[in-house]
Amino acid sequence: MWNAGSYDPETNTLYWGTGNPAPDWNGDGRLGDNLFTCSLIAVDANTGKMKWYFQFSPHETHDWDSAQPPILFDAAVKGKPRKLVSLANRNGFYYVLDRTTGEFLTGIPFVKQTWAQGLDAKGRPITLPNIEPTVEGTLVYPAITGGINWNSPSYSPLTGLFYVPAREAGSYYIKGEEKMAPGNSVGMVGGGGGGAKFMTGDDVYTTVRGLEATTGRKTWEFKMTGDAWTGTLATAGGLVFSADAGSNLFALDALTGKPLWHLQVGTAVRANPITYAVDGEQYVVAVAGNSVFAFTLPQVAQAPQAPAQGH
Amino acid sequence: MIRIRSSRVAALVFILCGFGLCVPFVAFAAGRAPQATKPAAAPPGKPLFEGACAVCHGMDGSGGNGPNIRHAAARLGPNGIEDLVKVGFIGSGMPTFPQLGDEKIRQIVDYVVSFDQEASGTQPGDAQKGKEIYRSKNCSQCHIVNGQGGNLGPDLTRVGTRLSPGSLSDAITSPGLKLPLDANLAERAAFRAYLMQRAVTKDGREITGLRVNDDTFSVQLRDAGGQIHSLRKLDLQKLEDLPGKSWMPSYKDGLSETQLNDLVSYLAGLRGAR
Repeated sequence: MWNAGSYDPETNTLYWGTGNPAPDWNGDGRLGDNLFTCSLIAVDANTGKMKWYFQFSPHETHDWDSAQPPILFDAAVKGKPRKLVSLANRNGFYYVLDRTTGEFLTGIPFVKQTWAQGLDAKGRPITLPNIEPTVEGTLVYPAITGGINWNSPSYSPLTGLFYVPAREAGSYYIKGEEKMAPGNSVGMVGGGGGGAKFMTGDDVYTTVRGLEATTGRKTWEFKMTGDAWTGTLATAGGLVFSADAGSNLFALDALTGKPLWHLQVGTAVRANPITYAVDGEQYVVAVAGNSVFAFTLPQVAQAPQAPAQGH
Repeated sequence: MIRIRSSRVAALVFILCGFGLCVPFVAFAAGRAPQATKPAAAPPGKPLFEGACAVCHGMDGSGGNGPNIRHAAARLGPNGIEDLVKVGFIGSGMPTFPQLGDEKIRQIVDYVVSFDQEASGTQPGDAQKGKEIYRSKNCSQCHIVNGQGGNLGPDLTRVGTRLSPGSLSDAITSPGLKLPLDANLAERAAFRAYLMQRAVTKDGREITGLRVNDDTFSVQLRDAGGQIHSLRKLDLQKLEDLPGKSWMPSYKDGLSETQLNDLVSYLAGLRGAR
């Protein structure tokens, strides 16, 4: 586990996505599903007892862990109100589960993926042939950094959309010697059992996508230039904040993805923008390099939608 | 679109999720000039470099998500590298390594310096003759070396620290060549900066030029006259890449293989004014 989990106070449950098995790219010495790697785990917050688990990628061999932040929301599925948890997985699929039982409800790709024909009725991937890492390298989508990585998605109950910072790319996955030894950790030199080579070129880009949260269907996307590493923040004002690789902090219309505002902050924005209110005044804050940028709206009767600059 | 150069194969990227960084590091396992003699013992900086640096700079320093640093010694000198490792580079993703201590950092620096020594000894031709070819073919009409020349094309003062001999050869014989899939970050950056693009504004204005810079919201193109046009992408109805197009003529037929190798050797030796 290396990313943030989520907490549901109503059921006193913690939800955590787990890492991938090691050696990462050579699974010869770890046959089977390798439980509970690449899974979402629901844990009783008081006792630490596991309530349920759902494994996204059994016997994973591409370094696609499932540590992405799970998002908890309530919505109707096929006319029935459900308590849901959704996760845009590094393996390129977007999943919706019932968060009380772990039941799989929906899973569809949110980026190009070439390793699975699809998911079966229980959500288990139906893998395609020739996707395993090889000595000479096997081209598979998504890339080694995944369809998403650590950067957080967000959800807006106003729009019912899930805002995913998505990565479109493939990698050449290379199988190496298995050198797992006690003390070696996942992905470290000597413990990975292979690796991957990045693909670059015109097919490679990062984007913010608005997915219908209950189905994963893409409603819009905002394509960016370069390799962005920022999560998204959805606000009650109908905005989605994020940043591109060119140090532009921006706000999109949460319903359409249309860019409404951007500011060149001069250095990389790698952390999620956040928002909070003090004495009724709302702030949006982003960390860029070693600076913190804070924004609020001007004090006018009819505030415009886009925030004005403050510092 | 998918093309791997046989000269540069097998690269390894690992992920260092434990750091929460999850950026790849690339190790070129083949394709560099093979060393006939094996050193008796690995330098002490090697495992340190592979543990701490390779995650971004590649197992052999040729770059991944971080820049190619095989020629860092030529640009910065050992002290410059040491300073950078100690201070980091805020905003770039380059952290500091306080846990390593001075001794280990010096071992890493020695190892990084050895990349440069290794890489500069493998030129395919005669650099002196190549310099003469550079002059006779009038390359300086469009390229700058040490402050001398025209600025229509890339400044070549440090081109030997950016591009491998193979990429230099490609750039001379096939200007505007599509970006190879295995290009490292520095090569990608060099390519992106000199891609030709055609922009059409919503009011019908058309500008063709070299892409000097672009981000999500704007693009800067330099036209044939050297004028820079800064355009908002929202104001454009069309922005298209013109891959394979370049103002630079191809020297595929204008140079013999020996001459090409000589020219490549000259350019590969351009590693910054000192």
